[in-house]
Amino acid sequence: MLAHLHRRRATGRIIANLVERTKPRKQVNHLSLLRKGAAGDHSGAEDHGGDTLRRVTRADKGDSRVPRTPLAPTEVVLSVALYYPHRPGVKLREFLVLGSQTLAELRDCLHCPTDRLLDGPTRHSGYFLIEKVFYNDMRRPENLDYSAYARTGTAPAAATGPCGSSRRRCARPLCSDWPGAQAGAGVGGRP
Amino acid sequence: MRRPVLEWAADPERQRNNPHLTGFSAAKMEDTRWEDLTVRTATPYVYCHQGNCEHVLMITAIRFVADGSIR
Repeated sequence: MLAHLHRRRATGRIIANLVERTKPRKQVNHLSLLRKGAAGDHSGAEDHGGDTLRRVTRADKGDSRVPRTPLAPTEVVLSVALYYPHRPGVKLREFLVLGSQTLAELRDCLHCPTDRLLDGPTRHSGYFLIEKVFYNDMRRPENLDYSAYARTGTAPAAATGPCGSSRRRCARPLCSDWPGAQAGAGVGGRP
Repeated sequence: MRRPVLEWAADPERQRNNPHLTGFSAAKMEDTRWEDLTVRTATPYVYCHQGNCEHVLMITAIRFVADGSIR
């Protein structure tokens, strides 16, 4: 009995340890500040104390290569939450985005397991649907304009192959009553 | 899958109930800055990639930076 209690207490301690260890990490994952690439100038970092400042938060640890730059006083920060597909109520991640950043910069930071599945890494098309405007990612020449398909019902050329037809799925719109999302529906075209 | 979408959007009763079903337009995300958008907070938007992986995207807060904020 005593041994059993000891074991339970030990397990409890281990769990408590784990919780303590994972807590700060969770906070870091929960809210990620989007930063532009390391191409910016270093002046901001030096002005504010450089290395000492970099150790302020754990979130900064992983990104120590990215220089600190002072923000313009007119800058706005948007908190953008991304939810799981097929589970609209479950938040996947939340980002802080600057008003001066483009939508594509946020898109580069959105990671979803489907991007790594099968031939997922070869397809870079995507869109945001915000207030009835489709914002397509057309940075690569091979990217498809998904919105043309969603708006006009014309399938993109890449959807006619065996791959495109085999993966066609339910076209159920995400939610018919959401003002900005009425055209949301699966698209058969690939890249 | 084209037909279900069209049927869904073209349903007269649905359009009558929801006039938002018309008037969509398109732009490039790499040319659009967040400050150019007109958005509402706590409104579900869509992020779609890989053809059929749809996420809800929601802007939960918008605020000005404080003086001396750094990135």
